This record gives sequence, C-alpha cells and structure tokens, in this order.
Amino acid sequence: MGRSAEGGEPAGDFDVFYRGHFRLVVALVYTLSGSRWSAEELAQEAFFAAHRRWQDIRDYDDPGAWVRRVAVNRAVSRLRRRGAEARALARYAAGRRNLPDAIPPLADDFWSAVRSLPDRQAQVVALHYLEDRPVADIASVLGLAEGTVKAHLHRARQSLAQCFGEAEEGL
Amino acid sequence: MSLDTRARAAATAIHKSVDGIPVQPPDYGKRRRHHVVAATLTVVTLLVASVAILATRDADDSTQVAAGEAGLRPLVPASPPDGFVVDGAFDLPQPTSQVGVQRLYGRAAGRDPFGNGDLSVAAIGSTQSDDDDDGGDGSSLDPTREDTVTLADGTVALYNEGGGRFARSLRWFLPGHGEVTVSSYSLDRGQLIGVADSLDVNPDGTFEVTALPDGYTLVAELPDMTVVSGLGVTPARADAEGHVLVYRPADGSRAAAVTILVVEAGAAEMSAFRWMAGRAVEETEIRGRPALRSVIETGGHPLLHLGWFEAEGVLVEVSTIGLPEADAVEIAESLEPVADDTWHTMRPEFFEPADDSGVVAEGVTETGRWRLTLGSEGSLCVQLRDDLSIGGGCGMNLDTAIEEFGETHLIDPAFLNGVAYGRADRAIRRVVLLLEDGTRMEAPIYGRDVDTVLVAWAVPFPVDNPPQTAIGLDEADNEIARRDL
Repeated sequence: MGRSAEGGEPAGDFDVFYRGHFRLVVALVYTLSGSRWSAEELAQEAFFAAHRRWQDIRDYDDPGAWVRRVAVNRAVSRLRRRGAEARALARYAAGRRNLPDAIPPLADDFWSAVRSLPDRQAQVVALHYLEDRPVADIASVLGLAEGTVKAHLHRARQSLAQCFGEAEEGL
Repeated sequence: MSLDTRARAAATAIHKSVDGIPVQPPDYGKRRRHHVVAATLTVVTLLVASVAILATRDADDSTQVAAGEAGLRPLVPASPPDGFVVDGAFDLPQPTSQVGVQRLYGRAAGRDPFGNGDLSVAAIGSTQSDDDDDGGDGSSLDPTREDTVTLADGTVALYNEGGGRFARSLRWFLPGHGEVTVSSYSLDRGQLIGVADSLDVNPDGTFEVTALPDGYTLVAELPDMTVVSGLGVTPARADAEGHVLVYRPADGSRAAAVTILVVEAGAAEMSAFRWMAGRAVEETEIRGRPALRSVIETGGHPLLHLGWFEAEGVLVEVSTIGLPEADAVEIAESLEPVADDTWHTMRPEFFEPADDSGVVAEGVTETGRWRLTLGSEGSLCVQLRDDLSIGGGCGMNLDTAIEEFGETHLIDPAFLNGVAYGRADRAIRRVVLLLEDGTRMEAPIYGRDVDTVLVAWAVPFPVDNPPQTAIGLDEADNEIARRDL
C-alpha cells in the first residue's frame, strides 16, 4: 500500500482531498524538478487542473493518482518548470511564497541522481521510494503497464546503484 | 549504505522539507483558466510586495537629473551575467485590465516619510465593470480558515503575516471591482483590521480611508497604476512608456533573475519603489546619480533592488535575485542605451524542441507568435512567444497533455498559455471554438495522421475570452462532434 494521504478521506470533497494530498504532491514535484521554487507552484497547477474536473475526478478510484500524473509530467517539463519558477519568484518576492525547506546534501545527492535518469525512470523511482507505492499503483498513476514499470524500476535501480557504487538489491 | 537505505533517508528528508507548507486549499473560484489565474496572482502579489521608506519630496526632487534625449531608450548592460540569457524584452505600456489605485501613507522621521509608520492601500482592477469570476466575490472564502479575518461588515479577508521580511497584508475581493489590499510593515494585525474597517469603497472602486493612524499623512497617490512583470516593484501608470529587460539562467539550473526597468515616472512612483523595495532601503549612488538600494535576504537568494532617476521623469530600476550585490551593481553601472534595431533583436526566440519534432501548426497573435510541434513518438511542444516571454511546455505526450484537461473524445482539446489545441477524428475537417462571449473562432486542422486521428488543430485565443466549446464539422459543415471545454 502506498503512503496514504494525510487523513485517509474518501476524496468526495475537494478541500479534504487537497489537504490530504497537497504536501505529498509538493514533495513529489520537488524530487523530480529539483526546484524548491517551482515545487509548490507546479503542485498548485496540478490541483487546479483537478479542481476544474472535480465532478469527474472525485468518482475515480484514486483521484490522487490522477493529480500525481499531472504533477509528475509537469515536473519534468523544462518549460513548465521555468514558467512556474518565474511565478514563484514573483510571489516569493512578495512574501506570499512558501518554500520547502532545503534538504540535506546526502538526500540532495540521491534525488539529483534520480533526476539524471530518463524521465520515466525518475518518475517511477520517485513514486516508489517517496510514496512507497507498489508497482501496480505506480502503473496506475503513470498509465503504464506493470511490466513497463518493473522494467523502468529495474533499470533505474541499476543506474543508481552504479552511481553510488553499491550493489543493487532485489525488488 | 545500501541503495534502499539511502533512498528511504532521502525520501524522509523530502517529506520533512514540506512539513511547513500550508495545506489550506486556495480560493480557486468557480471556473477559472489557469493562465488567467496565474497572471492575476502575479500582478496582485507584486502589488502587495511591500515595504519601505520614502525620501521627502525634497529628497525625491534631488534624485532627478536633467532630461536627456536618450532618457527613455532601452538600457542594456555591457554583458549579461555569466550563463544568463534574455528571457523577456518588451516595451511599455502593455495592454492590461489590471489597473488600480494605490495610496501610500506614512508618519515621517527626518527625511523618511515612513520612518515612524507606513501604510499602503490598493484597489486593483477597479476599472473593470463586469463581475467576472477571476476576482471572486469573497463568498467562497472560508471564514474559519486560520489565515482569514472577518471584517466589521462581514467581509472575509485573507491575512498574510509577511514572514518578517515583507509587509503584513489583508486583502479581500470586491464584487465587480477586483481586490483591495491593505498592507504595512509597522502596523500590526489589529491595526490593519482597523484600517480595513474604516475603508469606504465607492461603487466605482475608488476608496477613502476614514480613520488613519495618528500622525499618518498621504505620501503618494498612484491612480491608473499597473505592475510590470519580472522582479521589478516600481508601479507604472497604465499609459507610461518604458522598456523592460529580463534575464534568466540559460539552463534554469538555479533560481535567479535580473530585471531592468526604464519607465516614465515621477516622485510618486519613486515613493512607491521605496515602499515596495524593502524596509531597509538606503541611499546610495549609481551611475553618478542619487539612488536607492535595498537588499532582502531570502534564504540564500538575496533579492536586491536599485532605483534612480536616469533623467528627469525617467526612473530606472535594476532588480536581481540570486546574484551577489556586486554583480547587480556592475550591471547597473554598465547600462547603455541601445537603438531600436538592437533592442528588437534581443527578444526571446522559441525554445527548440527535439530534433525529430516537426512544426505542425503555427501562427501569429496580437502580440507575438505561437507554434506547435510534434515529435515522432507523440512528444508535444506548444509555445507562445511574445515580446514579454516564451510560454508553453515541451516534453509532454499528446495523450497525457490532453488527459490533463479533458477526456479522450472525438475532439480532444487542451489549453496551454492561451493556445487551444488538440486532435480530431479523421472525419472532422474543421474545428470551431465557441468563445465565452458567444463569438466563434476557427481552429484550423493542420493534418497529420496518427493511427486513426488527425493531429493537430490549434489556435490561440484571447485569454479574457476563452473558448467554452469545441465543435467538429465534417466536409459538408455538419456538426459531428461537440465538446464542452
């Protein structure tokens, strides 16, 4: 079971859904974009997209998967990140910005290595480690076949193990 | 350390880093477009950016120098910071509906009119007569939220403490007129509420403060003012001429930016600059002219503002974030006026997508150009370029991009920065968009076969009049598909 939303709600109400998932999505975007500045901005974009379609999404089995899919795709888009950073800078300058805290160097090294992977591999790794999601969940979030997720995860772990000079452990 | 152990520790660190992020849902309103919201937020938040001092009228006058013929020419540094590229180069005035009134009040201490107290009251969007949904009417604000304040007349306002570096503020929506913001560095929450309760807002959006704190007087009034984008804090009159140049790191690897603003302005705008540039404004000298300087530490990313009169009635502001102060001063000192030809060549170009991408649609807008490219594996890149900047996104898969905004259908629409685009069944030969005001817009199909569908149709739309419905027509102009957007 993946890391649950804070509150474990049935997601029938958007505000409850937002409160339960927002920080988790900010964390996910932060790992994939590497930008403290754009993390909340991009997460907000994803939740705004969800808000627009809430009448449909609220009935999905896992609305959180939908908002994560939007968020991870935006997180790896260079131009989206750039635009989000520009807006975040403006808001930060205005004192209305909430930035994630800087993370320790060891953690930063790990996520930097993740970001150096191909986009899909990075997304799979982030969902796997950050949210403890099993392969089936990750496949649902990303709209991929489970076998594809396994392949991405395997290749990603190989690359990361090589990067850190460690032996890859089994799934 | 094993990979899993390292990964778990890294995950824990990330989760810990976001613990302080508020989880109160924003006021999304009824049905807004993301780009409109973003633009509105940027404008409004920049207006609230606050602080500062203001030299006395005498001091402001002393910062003006004799006018020169090149006074309003664009100013460009001898060389941009290492690794930076032009991100925007545009002229003022820019068309905007976000016009408002700002008044600055203060209690002077020596040459500083805000030395013993400051207050800003701003009403934004007061020229708008329609009650659209972008400002909201405040009724959707939850009065039980921690950051809300219920004013004496029942209005629910959002309160922001300012984080110690920026002004405390109260803002609320004004039905039909936009938003009102009351902010101050020196007044506490209770005093701000007192000012807000004393505010008489007229039906046309103008306002009167009926209970100023003791000793406060009007320092500056800025009617018909708007806010320039970028890091600049100087408000400009809606009809003021000028130029804005923005630099950003070429690879986007760090949060840094440079904004150079040259604008027609007088003492009131300089007062606003001083108030908005930060509480610790100091007098200095730039290019041999009296100038104001402010540095705000923002977690390792110093935000610096320099402002001075380059000539009589010509205010120049150089603002940087993420650069050493010495670099910012060097930029300011090296500014040179450039000719129009040079200025126009500085405007940003399209980001080049992957080599295997082909341009499937492109066109012009009122202020620039747009382009849609598609890679051989469905990688989509939509860009909207104007004098201000490049907008858009790349690296998306068409299906994924569409899924963000609409379910798969005969006409699959998506929005990005003012461009509606999508794909259509092969039977569809034309796509027509019905805009919010009831008018129609043709969205040409640029035919490209992908399995059984055509990719793509695309057209830029006015952001203040977005499409509501996409209609697919066959060869005989019969409607064979319709999608509410």
